[in-house]
Amino acid sequence: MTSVAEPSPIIARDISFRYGEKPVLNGCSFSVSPGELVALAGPNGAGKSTLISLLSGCQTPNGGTVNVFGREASQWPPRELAQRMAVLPQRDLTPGAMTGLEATLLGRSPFLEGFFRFESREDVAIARAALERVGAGEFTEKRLSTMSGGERQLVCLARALAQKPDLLLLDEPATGLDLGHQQALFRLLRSLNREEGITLISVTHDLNLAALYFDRLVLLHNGLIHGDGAPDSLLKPEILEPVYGAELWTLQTPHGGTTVGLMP
Amino acid sequence: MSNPRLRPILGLVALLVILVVVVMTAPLIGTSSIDLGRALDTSIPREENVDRIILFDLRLARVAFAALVGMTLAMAGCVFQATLRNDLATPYTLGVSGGSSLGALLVMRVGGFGPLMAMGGVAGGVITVAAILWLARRFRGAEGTVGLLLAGVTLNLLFSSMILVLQYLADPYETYAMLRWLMGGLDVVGLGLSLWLAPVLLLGALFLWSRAHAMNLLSLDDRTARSLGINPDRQRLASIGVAAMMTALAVSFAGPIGFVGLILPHGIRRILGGDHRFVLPGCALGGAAFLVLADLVGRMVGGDAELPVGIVTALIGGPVFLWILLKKQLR
Repeated sequence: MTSVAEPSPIIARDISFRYGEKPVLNGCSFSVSPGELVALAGPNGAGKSTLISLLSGCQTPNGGTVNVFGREASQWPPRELAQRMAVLPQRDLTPGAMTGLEATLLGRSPFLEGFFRFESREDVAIARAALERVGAGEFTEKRLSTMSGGERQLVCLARALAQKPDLLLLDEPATGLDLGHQQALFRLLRSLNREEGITLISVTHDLNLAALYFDRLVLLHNGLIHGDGAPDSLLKPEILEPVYGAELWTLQTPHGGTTVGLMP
Repeated sequence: MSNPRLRPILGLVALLVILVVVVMTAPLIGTSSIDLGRALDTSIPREENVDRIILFDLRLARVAFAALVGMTLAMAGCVFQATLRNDLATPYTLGVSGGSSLGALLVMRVGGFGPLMAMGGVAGGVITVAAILWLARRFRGAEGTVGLLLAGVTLNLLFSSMILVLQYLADPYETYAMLRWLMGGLDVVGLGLSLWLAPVLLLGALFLWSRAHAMNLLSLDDRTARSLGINPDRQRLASIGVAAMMTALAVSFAGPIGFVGLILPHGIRRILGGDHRFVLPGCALGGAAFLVLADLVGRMVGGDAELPVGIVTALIGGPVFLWILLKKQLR
């Protein structure tokens, strides 16, 4: 007896993408297995956000295939894909008049039934639990317009969790957060991966954050995958300097990791 | 903890009560006073009962028509604002009303009137909708909404100048008739038109209401809307298409009536919040009540020569909208 294996969350084969004449991705191949915790890094314009947009089916590659849970990303009906995959956008445009709970309830959208698509008690319970899970339980009644950037980010994450996703894509979730909020957010993401088994892929600018909290680092450069492996194995001046065009040093941290910094 | 749905539900109930009261009382008010007892007395032959004719065939018919048009304009405005993520987007700003007006006036110019003008208006509206849908395809996504709006404004200016050409070429009597039509009017005779329009417009309204949740998602951004399970382009085109067709139909009978689609949704959102599952029916009820009231004001203020409803809505709506804009700016 062979059991039907759960299809991989992501299998990207030789994908290329152009904005008009400008090539952004030039043949990237990589795959992500269930339960992985992956950081996607690279210099500005390396194609990180484009890759997220291709993975989420918003755009179709000019060449190659992006397979999400066994099906071409752009071929998924949006509603069905949204039941399995959540995306945290780089900029959140949720109307400020919404409360934390209302914004989180939007995450139940792909599951709503009926003519007017009103949420059931169960949907509300799931949304409340999602807010609690990210530590934003007290924001239930608070309007987004009165929240700080970090608080809004938590509500966005709660919205994504309310989708009960198997796969979570994040586009620079740490943008605009101070050190304390960064640490809280990435510890939370790590625990979501470890405890709920959510496969997690996050674009990040910060290599040190990638090294601290992620199991695997995919390094993009000029639309190609320049490195793919354990973050510590990639945080070396000889690998990073040509990618970023910067002079760098690296150091072993007291807890056995690697950290990277700029030369003065 | 209070139920967050309580406020919008109470708001909707209040709007419904207001609408019922307005629709019940508006027919009783007018320049010529009527004897209500005599009007409702069925023993008097219809042809001899002037009070009855004034109450039912003139005033009630007019109120029903005003309510239908008001509902349509407010809902369509709300749909355009939600799906294009722009507080200034309405069928007017995108040229649908202009296209309908041009179509209706072209028919008037070649000697048509009444239903023929309405057909011209619908045709003009349909062509404009097709142009807008085509433009919407070209201006896809979030950045495109500004481009689409600018294209609509340009279409509107184009239609306005073509209407000016028509007026310039017409003889003085025709020019006056055109001008009067462009001011908007709800003076219909008999309930026939409303009975025919009502099922079409109410069906459209029901369709728009069923898209309300998708409109909530479209108020985020296209990518997020997609990641939450809808096809943003398809939802936007369906909602705009239906709203624009409804507007074309209303405009071709009532003439272009401005500001209802612009200020009503703003006011309703203030009362009911941001959830379109409540805001859309709120706009339907509020828009209907508002236009009946505006028409009533026009009938009262003007004396024998009553003020066209389009002028009343512009005189109320213009300052109110400026005030809203200023308040937003000051915050």
